[in-house]
Amino acid sequence: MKTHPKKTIESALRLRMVGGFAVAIFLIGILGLLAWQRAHVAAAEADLVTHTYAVMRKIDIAAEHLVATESNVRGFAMTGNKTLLAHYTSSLAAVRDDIVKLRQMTADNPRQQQHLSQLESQMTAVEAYFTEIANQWRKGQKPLSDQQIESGETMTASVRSVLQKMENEEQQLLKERALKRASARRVNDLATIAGSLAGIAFLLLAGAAVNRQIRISGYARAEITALNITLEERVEERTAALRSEMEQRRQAEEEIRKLAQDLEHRVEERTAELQVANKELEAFTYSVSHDLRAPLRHIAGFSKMLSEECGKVLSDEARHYLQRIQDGTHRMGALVDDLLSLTRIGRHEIKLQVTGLDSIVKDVISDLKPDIESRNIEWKIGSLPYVEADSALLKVVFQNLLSNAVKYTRPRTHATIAVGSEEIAGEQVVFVRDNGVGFNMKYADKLFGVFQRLHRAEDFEGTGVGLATVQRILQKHGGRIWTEAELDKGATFYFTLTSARQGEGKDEPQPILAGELS
Amino acid sequence: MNSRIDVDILLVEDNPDDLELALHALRREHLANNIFTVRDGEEALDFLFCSGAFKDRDFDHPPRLVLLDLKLPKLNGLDVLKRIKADPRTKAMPVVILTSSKEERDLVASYNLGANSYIQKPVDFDQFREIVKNTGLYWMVINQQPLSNPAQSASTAAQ
Repeated sequence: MKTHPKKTIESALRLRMVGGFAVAIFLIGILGLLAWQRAHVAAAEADLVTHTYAVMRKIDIAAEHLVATESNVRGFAMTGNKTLLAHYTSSLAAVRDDIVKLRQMTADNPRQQQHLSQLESQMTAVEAYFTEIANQWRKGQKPLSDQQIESGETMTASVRSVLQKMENEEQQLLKERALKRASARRVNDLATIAGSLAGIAFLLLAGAAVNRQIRISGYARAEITALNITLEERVEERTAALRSEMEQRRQAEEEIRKLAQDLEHRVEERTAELQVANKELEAFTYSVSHDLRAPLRHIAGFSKMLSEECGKVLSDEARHYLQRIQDGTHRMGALVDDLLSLTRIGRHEIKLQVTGLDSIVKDVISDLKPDIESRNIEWKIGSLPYVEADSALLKVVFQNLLSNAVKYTRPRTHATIAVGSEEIAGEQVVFVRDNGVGFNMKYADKLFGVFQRLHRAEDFEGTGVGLATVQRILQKHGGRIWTEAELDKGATFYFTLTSARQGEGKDEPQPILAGELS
Repeated sequence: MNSRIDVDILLVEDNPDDLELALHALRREHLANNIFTVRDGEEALDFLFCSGAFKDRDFDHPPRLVLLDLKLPKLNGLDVLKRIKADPRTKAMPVVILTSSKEERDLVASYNLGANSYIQKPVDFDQFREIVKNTGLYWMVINQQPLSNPAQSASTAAQ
């Protein structure tokens, strides 16, 4: 049943159900109609029976009237009593009347009409007889002859027999009607029973169909319920899936939050560590500036005093040693000072202000002038931008770069130092170029490391801190520095400042490459 | 301690080497006849406020210049400076910080407490002598100071 399409099943069932009910209603209707018709027929038959009984009664009355007529006429004939004659006349009239009535009553029955015609003719004979008897008395022939009496009896007997026949006829009719009615009743009973049974049967069938329909709809309902349950289960499954997904997402978020918190915590820890490290560095710097410089000062001071006060008594060799001691202390002093300035730059908070690089470069060159009076240096200062930077630190940058340029062009009879700016790949880049001794590019990555030197101290003095300081300063500005050099041809130092604003206000973030170099 | 002898320069220095070098430089330039040295902050305050070992010293004859190191035992240079500058009687006394430190915080602290000058001792001895010479010349010769104690003068004027 489940395999059939439900719509077809439903319509077939409905058809059967409606059919069953229709047949049952039709049968019950027919039965009602039959009952109604039978009641009518029965009423009509009852009327007929009543009529028959009325006819039979009339026949009896007619017979009585005939007897009365006979006895009245005989009495008159025997007594001559006029009263009896009158009775005889009225009785005779009554018989006549009865016959007329009977003719009316049995108008539908030809046999009775025939009997009545026979009766009428006999009555005429009887009347004639009676009239003869009556007349005979009037003539004085009082006693009746035996023949007369006999014929009179015969006549009345035949009348009676006709009446009897009529009565018999009616009796017969009654009998026939009873029979007919019985058979009709039987047929009716049969029809009623059969119809009733058929009606019941169809009702049962319809009921069964309804029952089945109910059962089927029960199945359908069960099926729907089952489907509903399945659907609900699915919905619940999906809901559960969604819920678990949401839960997972929530957990993921929670995890991310935790990670972020953890990260923040770690950043805080690291910051604290860095702060501690900074404090230590500060303490170290303080210690270096205070405690390391003191003995150095003492060595320098006393060796100086020794050479001044006892120089004359010392051998040349001893004086040479003293000189070396003094040079050493001098170098170490410079080293300590440079180191301290490098760490100070690390801690220094940059104060940005619009600064003309041109004026800084000019300042630095004029500071260098006393040392280069004897030198033949050609300065080529190009157009330099205004930048937003810490001017004091930028001055340190140029001090280092320009003094380096001066230093490393020392062997040149004609030194050329160029300072300028150019746009490289959309970036404003400042450069310092010299035609000095240069260096091999394979050592370029060492250039910006602290204490890293590419030249021998005998050739070029220096602590190896200057370029590290320059790089540190540019890093603090978000800029970077790089070089191009060739051994014995010269070197060019390029640098950028992220916070540089070159007139039109270029403000693109710059990658910090300086850190990668060190 | 003879309280009658006027002190030109009070040198507060704990390190004997530094002390010797400083005295050498000062004497070489003939800038002061009487240089008195103390070796820690407590001694410096005792000398200046005539207490402890210096209770017999004449308070009305203060040194004309104090050369003060910062890193000192017991009380450090900044504590000494604070006491000198907090007291109206010694407030006007010139105090020159002579130290190895070039730390910004030391500079700031010193000037905030009223130091008259701040000098970092250079490693180079020639430079050191030059600085000592210039300092002595300035504070002992060029700079003008009131003849009497400013606090005393103020109280006298008030009367």
